[in-house]
Amino acid sequence: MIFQLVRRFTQTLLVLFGVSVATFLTMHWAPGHPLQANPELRLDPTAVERWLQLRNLDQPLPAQYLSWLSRMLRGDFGQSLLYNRPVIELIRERLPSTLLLTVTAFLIGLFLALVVGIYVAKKQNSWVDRMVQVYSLAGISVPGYWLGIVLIICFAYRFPLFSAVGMRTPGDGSLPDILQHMVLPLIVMVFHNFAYYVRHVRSAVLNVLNLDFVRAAKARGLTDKQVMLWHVLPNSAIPIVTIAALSLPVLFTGAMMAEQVFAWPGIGRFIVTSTMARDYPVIMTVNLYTAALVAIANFLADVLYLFIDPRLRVKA
Amino acid sequence: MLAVKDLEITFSEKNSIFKAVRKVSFSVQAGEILGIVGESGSGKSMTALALTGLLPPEAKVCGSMSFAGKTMHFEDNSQWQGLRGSKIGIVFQDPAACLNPLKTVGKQVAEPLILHKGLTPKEAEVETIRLFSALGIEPAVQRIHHYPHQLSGGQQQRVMLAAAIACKPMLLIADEPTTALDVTVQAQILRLLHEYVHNHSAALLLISHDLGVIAQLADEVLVMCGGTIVEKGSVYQIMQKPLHPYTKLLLASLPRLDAPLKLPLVANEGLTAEGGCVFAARCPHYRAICLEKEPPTKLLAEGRQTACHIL
Amino acid sequence: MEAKNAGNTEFLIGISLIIILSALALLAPLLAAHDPYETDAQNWLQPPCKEHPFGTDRLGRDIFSRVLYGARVSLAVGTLSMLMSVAIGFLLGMAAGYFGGVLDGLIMRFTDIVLVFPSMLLVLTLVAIFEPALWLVIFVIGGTGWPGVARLVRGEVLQLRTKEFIQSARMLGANHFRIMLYHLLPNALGPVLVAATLSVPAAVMTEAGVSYFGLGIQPPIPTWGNMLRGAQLYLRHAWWYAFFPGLFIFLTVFAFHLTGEGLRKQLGLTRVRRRG
Repeated sequence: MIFQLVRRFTQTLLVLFGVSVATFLTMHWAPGHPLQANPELRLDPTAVERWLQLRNLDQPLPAQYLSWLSRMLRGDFGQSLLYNRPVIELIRERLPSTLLLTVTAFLIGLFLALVVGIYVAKKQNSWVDRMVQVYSLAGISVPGYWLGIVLIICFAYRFPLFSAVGMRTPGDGSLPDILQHMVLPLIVMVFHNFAYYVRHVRSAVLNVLNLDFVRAAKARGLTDKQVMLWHVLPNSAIPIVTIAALSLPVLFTGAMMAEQVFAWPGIGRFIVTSTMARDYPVIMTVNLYTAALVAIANFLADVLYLFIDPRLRVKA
Repeated sequence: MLAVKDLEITFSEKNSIFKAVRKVSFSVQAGEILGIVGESGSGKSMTALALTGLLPPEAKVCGSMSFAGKTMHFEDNSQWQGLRGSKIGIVFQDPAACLNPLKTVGKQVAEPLILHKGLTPKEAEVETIRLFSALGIEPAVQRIHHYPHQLSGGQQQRVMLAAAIACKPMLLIADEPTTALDVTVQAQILRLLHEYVHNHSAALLLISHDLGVIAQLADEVLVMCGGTIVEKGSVYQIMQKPLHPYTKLLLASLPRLDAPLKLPLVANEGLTAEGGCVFAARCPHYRAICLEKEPPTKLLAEGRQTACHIL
Repeated sequence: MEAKNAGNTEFLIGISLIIILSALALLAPLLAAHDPYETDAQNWLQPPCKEHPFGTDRLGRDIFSRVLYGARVSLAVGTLSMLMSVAIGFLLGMAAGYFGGVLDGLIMRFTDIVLVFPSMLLVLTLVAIFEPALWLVIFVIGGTGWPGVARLVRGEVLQLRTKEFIQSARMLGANHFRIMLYHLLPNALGPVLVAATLSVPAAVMTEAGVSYFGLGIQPPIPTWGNMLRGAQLYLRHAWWYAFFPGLFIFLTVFAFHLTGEGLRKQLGLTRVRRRG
């Protein structure tokens, strides 16, 4: 068990290293030298030298990488070219609203998927099951921003029930106000998440239901409910945990779309604006940290498997 | 103690109907071991599943069985819930697949004890240890904490047996209990089955494709082919004086030391015996009538019957 | 257990939709009543009518014609980047699975690295660094979409490598290239076909998303994504402006998902895992 943990940990470290190098080199080789952002500097050679020195840009590449990495780890992400403010501040302002939206969407989507997925797995090929299967394909095929637009047309303009833009009404910001702003973006995200999760929950449960030990458990006199809770679900947990961990990029993409359509003041919208403006410090920080988060989530999922499945805990 | 009457199992797809078991009736007494022998697809495993109400939902079942003084209809699937694990115990073919890989074997054996006997988890653990020792799963105190993948095939089957007999069922059904095991382990499992029947005067339904296994253990034997009982008799009658051509074929396929193997391989090509005898298409002695009429079951003596036109 | 003809309906509906959409794209010049670039300031934001079945946009251009021409872009991006992803993924997966060892480790870590970046973010970043253009979008989506295929092919090859028929081919003196081409390739074809089918909608979705964000294929070339972007300011008054381009994104993506799912069921494969 220790061996596998160490192995996966080393692999994750390697991936994180690769991610940071890739991000660093992309930024380093990206067209448009940072110097060009300050045209007046070019007039004075000594100023240029000083400017480079200050930012360690006169050092060899590996040294530059190391100092960049240590700054990134300490939370010193540099200045935004667009806002001319520290990137860390900009992110700190926007992170809570993204987390609020994404975590809520994740929890609702996963919960619905578990309930519905287990139900339709038990009723395989019933009409409910067929409907859920069609929905799960349709749900992942709908572009989030388009669904958002349709919702805005219907429920913000035609029947003005919810707000179409932002997170709070200026001057308000009470909980009910934020909730009613959240409704439409949440629907967009959950529509997609739920579809994505439900097909995996369904097939994870279905795969286990067809195994012999389920029949053997019934033969011991367990009721269907007991069989489901004690034997089927624990065995379906591994694929479901995998999907939950792997869905982090899906969630991120969903947040980008929903935030863009509904002008939700979060990281997703921020990254789109920053990319449009080629605000490299912001782009690279978000890339680095998102990728690192995904790598770490995958690692944690692997650790969780070891606790779920005794067969993986072999000594090597 | 157990009497099955007119058991019929059909699977229907869009435009085809497949009869897995056709009008099968038999009975078992307490303390008796009834062997059911037949090739794969003969309907013997389906019969076992029907007796426990564990057939897949798409199967259509008719008939009735009386067990422990109660008569139950196969159409109504709700009555088996309380019997499984308490009055009827089942052992399946592949023990490795029949154990949940994520739970310790002790926990799995304790389940019926907690469910049917109302033991506390602690009491159930003590009882499980006792069961494990009785069945030779040693050292029992440690074994209960092991996961299925840590046990050998023979040990796994002992665990399955422990779970099946935990609540001292009156009827034990063993569906190919030794097929997935090594020959040396087979004998041990068979002995444990025999001991249980002997000590608790329970009934055992032993299902196997292997006449050798049946011959070792069974008192009475049913020979099944194509979903029907083609012959029935005591184990001596079946082994010494087989009547039905199918039984003879099964016996001839047993390897013997004293004679060369002679298999009357017949394939009556192009024959379709729809509505006739289920064995006609492979029978060396078939006649015209075999193709048209289902042979009636002839009762030859008490407990001795066969279904064949030729006899 | 799934029935023998499972997935048939999905496959047939999906493939018919794909054929219809491809026909619309190919025959766009014949079917479109208007030039997709032709502006008509007097008839701007016309609701759907006989002349303009999907209405007109803010410059009076015929949305129906623009949607048809947009299909060309979407399907081209989808197919070409799928081909690129499958080619890269196939080569890397085959090499990793077949040769194993250090090469396998290197390729798989590289795959992991590409895989941890959310694809939309990665494509957005790369497109932003360079000048947005059609070929770049195809290149970037194709160049980042291969890890799924690589993992899949590697898994298949690892399973097949130990099979007797590969061993006997090797015993008979077949070289690596021959084994890969004649023995491994045909056997891994089924899963790859499913993965290929499913990577088309992923590419279409990404292109539309990037164009909607304003970084993909630039106006005036009509794409469904940049049409939606253009419509964003007119939602209150012109529902048709945003509705039809989005509907076609959905139909295209849905058609490929149906086809892929149908294929998967028919080939009896377990689910192919995709990234978002």
